[in-house]
Amino acid sequence: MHNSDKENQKTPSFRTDEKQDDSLSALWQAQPVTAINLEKVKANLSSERKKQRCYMVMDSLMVFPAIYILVKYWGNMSLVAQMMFVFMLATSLPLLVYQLWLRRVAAFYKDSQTADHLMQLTKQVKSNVKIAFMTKHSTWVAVVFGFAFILERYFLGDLAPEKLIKLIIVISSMSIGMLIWYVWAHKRQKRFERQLKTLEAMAQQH
Amino acid sequence: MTLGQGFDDIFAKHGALLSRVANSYEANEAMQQELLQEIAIAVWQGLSRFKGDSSVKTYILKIAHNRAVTHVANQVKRLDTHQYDQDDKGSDGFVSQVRSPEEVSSQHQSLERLLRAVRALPLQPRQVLTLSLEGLSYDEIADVCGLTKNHVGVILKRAKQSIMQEQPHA
Repeated sequence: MHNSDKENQKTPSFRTDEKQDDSLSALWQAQPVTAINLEKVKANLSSERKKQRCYMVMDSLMVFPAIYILVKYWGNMSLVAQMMFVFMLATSLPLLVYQLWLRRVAAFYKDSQTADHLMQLTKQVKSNVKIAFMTKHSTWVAVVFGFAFILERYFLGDLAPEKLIKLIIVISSMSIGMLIWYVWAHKRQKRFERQLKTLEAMAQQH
Repeated sequence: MTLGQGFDDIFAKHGALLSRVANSYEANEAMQQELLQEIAIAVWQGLSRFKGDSSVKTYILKIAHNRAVTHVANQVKRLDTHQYDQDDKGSDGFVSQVRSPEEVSSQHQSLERLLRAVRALPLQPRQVLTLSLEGLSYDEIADVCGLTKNHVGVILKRAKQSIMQEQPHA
C-alpha cells in the first residue's frame, strides 16, 4: 500500500489531532530562550567544587577538638567522663560520614529517571529532617553533659574553687552557643519538613 | 577536539532546549535564569559520565528535569509559605507577567497562555508533554520519566486535552 493511500485512510479527527500537535509543537519551539553563558557555567562549576571541598573539610574538622581533648586528657578523666566523651564521639562520627556522603551525592547529578530521582531526593530530605532533629536535641543534651561533668568533677574529683568557677564560665558560654545552635537546627528542621511536604506532593502527582 | 570543546558544541546545539525546560518550571524571569544556570552546571558535570546508552538529547533532558525537580523542592528555602500547587503561578510561586493584548502580538499571547497552562500542570503530565513537544518518542519519554510506554500515551493525551482547553486556537 502506498503512503498516499495510508494518508487517505486517516480519519478527519486524526488529521485534526496531528495538525493541533504540530501547531502546539511549533508554538512551543517558538518561545524566546535564554542563551547559556558557558564562561559563567565553567566559573560557577569551579567555585562550586571549591565550596563543596571546603564544606567537607569543615565538616571533618568539627570532630577534631573532641578527638584532641580525648587523646590529651584521657588519662586525667574519670570513667564517667571517659564514657561521656566516647558516647558523644560515637554519635557524631556516623553523622559526619552521612553528611559527607550527602554532600558528595548533592554535588553530582545522575541521569536517573525522574521517578527514581524524586524517590532518592525524598529519602535524603527525610534523613535531613532526622539529622536536624537529632542536632537540635543534641544541643541541650551537650549542655546537660557539660553540667554533669562539672558535678562529677565537683563531687568525685579534686576540683579547686577557682577551677570550678572557670569551668562554670566555660559551660555557661557553651550553653549560650548551644542555644543559638538549637534555634538554627530548629529552623533547619522546619525547612526540611516543608521541603519534604513539597516533594511528597510532587510524588503523589507523579 | 578536547572534551571541553565537545561540551561547548553540545551546549550550542541543545542550549535552547535547556532554556525551555527552565521556562516550563519557572515563570519569573530571574528565577528562570537561575534555574537555567543550575541546569547547565548539572548537565556539564553529567556529560563527563555520558556513556552513549541513549542519545545526548535524552541524556541531558533527564539531568535537566532532575535538576528542575530539586530546584522546585529547594524553593521552600525562600518562600516559607510555598506549596507545590496546581495554580497558574508556576513552581516558584510567582505570577507570570501578563501583558495587555495591545502590547503583544497574538503569537506572544498564545505562548503566554501555553506556558501558563504547562506550568499549571502537575509534574508528571508537564514533563511528559514538554518532552513530547521537544520531539522525544514515547520510548524516550518513558525512559526519562520512569514510566511505561502505555502510561506515557495516556498521560500525554490528558495533558494535551488540558492544554487545548487553554489554547482553543492552537
